[in-house]
Amino acid sequence: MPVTLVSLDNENYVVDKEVAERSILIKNMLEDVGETDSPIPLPNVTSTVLKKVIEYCEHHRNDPIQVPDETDDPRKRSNDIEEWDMKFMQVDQEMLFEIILAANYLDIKPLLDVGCKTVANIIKGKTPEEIRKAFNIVNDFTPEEEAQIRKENEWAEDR
Amino acid sequence: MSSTRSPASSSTSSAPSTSFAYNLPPEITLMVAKHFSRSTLQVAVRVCKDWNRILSNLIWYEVLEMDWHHPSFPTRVPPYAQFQDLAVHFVHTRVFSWHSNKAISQRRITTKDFALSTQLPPAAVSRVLSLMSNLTSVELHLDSYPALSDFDDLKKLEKLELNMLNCSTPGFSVTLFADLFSRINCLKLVMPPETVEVSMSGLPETDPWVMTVLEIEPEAIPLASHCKKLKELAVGCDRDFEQVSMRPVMECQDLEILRINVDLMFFSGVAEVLPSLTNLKHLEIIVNSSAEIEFFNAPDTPMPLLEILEIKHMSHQDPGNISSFSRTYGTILRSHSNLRTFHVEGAAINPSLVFPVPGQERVASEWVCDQLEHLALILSWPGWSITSKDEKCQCWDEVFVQIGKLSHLKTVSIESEDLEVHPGRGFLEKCAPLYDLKSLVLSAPDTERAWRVDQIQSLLEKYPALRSIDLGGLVRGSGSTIQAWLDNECNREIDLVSFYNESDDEEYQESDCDEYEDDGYRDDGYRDDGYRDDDS
Repeated sequence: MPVTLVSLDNENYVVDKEVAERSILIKNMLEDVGETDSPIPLPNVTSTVLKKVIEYCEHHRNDPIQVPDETDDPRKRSNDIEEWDMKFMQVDQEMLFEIILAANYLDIKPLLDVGCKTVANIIKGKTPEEIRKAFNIVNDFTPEEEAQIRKENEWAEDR
Repeated sequence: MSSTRSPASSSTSSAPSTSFAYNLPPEITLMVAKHFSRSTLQVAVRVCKDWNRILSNLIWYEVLEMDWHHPSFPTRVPPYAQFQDLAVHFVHTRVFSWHSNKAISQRRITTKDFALSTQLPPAAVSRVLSLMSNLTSVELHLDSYPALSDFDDLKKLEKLELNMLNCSTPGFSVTLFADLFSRINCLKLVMPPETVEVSMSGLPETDPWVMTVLEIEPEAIPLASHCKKLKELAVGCDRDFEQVSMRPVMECQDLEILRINVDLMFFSGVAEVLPSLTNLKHLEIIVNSSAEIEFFNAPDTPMPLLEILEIKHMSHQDPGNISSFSRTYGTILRSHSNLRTFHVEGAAINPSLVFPVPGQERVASEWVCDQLEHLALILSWPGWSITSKDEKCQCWDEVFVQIGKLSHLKTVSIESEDLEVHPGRGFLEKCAPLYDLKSLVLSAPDTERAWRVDQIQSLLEKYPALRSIDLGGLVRGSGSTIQAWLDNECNREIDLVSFYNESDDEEYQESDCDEYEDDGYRDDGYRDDGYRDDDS
């Protein structure tokens, strides 16, 4: 049965239930209200972002539901991103962050993961100044403070 | 944590944000940072005060064996009372690894950049453990036995590695630690050299342990009978030992992964135990003679259908052994329909017995393992009596045809002296396009035959997913030409690995390091190809 999703700017999107249920938020909503034809408002997501999110959910509609993995062991972390996802994430930075926020709001864990990995990959290998530049962040450290932090944490650098 | 300056409040859009330009809430910054390596984290905490506040605690997530000796580590000289000052950081530590100075000097990692600082006395290690109350993973390489009470406060402990190789006096008792072992998920145990027998007496039979991962020495196999929920068992040892019975493992009916890193011939009951493990999916063994894996051929007690099989060979084989090994491998490839990884290393095999060659009655049926994703045939010695080049070419051609039928293949590694008769063309001509193939290794040592740029070009066209090519000796001489073509004219990013590349040494060290960090928690058990030159 199809489900109608309504974006912040009042665009309607009709998608298969199985696609919509990639979002745990929507899945829970549907379970709460039972069979319904009424559209689901998503007041935190604009139509451009929602379109993108639906594209992701369509592509991954048959993926096994991710088992919640509570271990945050960084040794298990992997920055590998599937090829399709990598291409999917080739968007401008604003869109990238919008997708991440939407994935967080809609509770689509795999999309949130891919988004975070993409951002992590952008940051990887950059100097603090390059990171600030990349994300338009204001440096509120004095050079002395920055040097001090570096010195304090040197023991935990990769060797 | 103060939230007054939190970038989460998106209403304050007019004020210049010090966090991400798009006002990511701190919890998302944190999620991003979970994908950072330690060095990226170092850089990230210097970006701005917000990031520093959000991410600093992650620095204390791991305290590893060498960290202690770094000049910048906050406390590395007595008095250890200062640990109290670190308590505020230690609560964020989840992973703690401590090696005694002796253990560090024995390790392969270089210590020349470090002056090892004073070693912590056992009492101080206990103190550290008690302050790190949120630890989930502890690794200890000790000179003296730990006390059970050291672990009392570690309520969240899941994983424990206890290496007592340097403990000289006998006296460690598994029974004494049973309470601790019974509640953790993963145990790696290296016993003191004096304790070769692991007594199970005193362990209450009615109280099975919950652990799912166990890594032990052969003498400790009796422990397995106490771990009925075991999913993964690794057995390894660097010294000689008496023959050990594998039978206790029969109790582990949930076992999915079994790694035996010593020659199978040192165990009794293997042929009985392995087929009985009905959930076994992943098997790694080391063998010396074909009789040791004869159980793969037993029609009455078939092996469970494996997904990952890695077999390493110990020594040079006589021709009779080669034939029986080859037939057994043929049987495996025709019966294990779920096989995703098939890795044979150090072997001498006769491909015409392993691969069904049309027209030869002795191998009638086709491979059934059409799910195969990783195929590695690392053949150390020429395995057969055929010496004419034509016959060899023909034989490998058949192999390549078979490989071309395995449409899910992602990596193919073939190393054999015999490959030199083919200047690479055999694979290129006979193997059908494989659309998932990402990594290809075709290697023959000591050959002068080189691939040409146009052949590489055809190879890349035929295998569109290829990202890494290792042509070993087959690229010597033309390597730099090919590399130049890949750099300048090829529009795909291809990693060309060559045996004779000077950067090999670096890669080796890197992989060495990975292996250590990895801690045996491999997801699919498949190793990258960088390990093959381990002994060279």
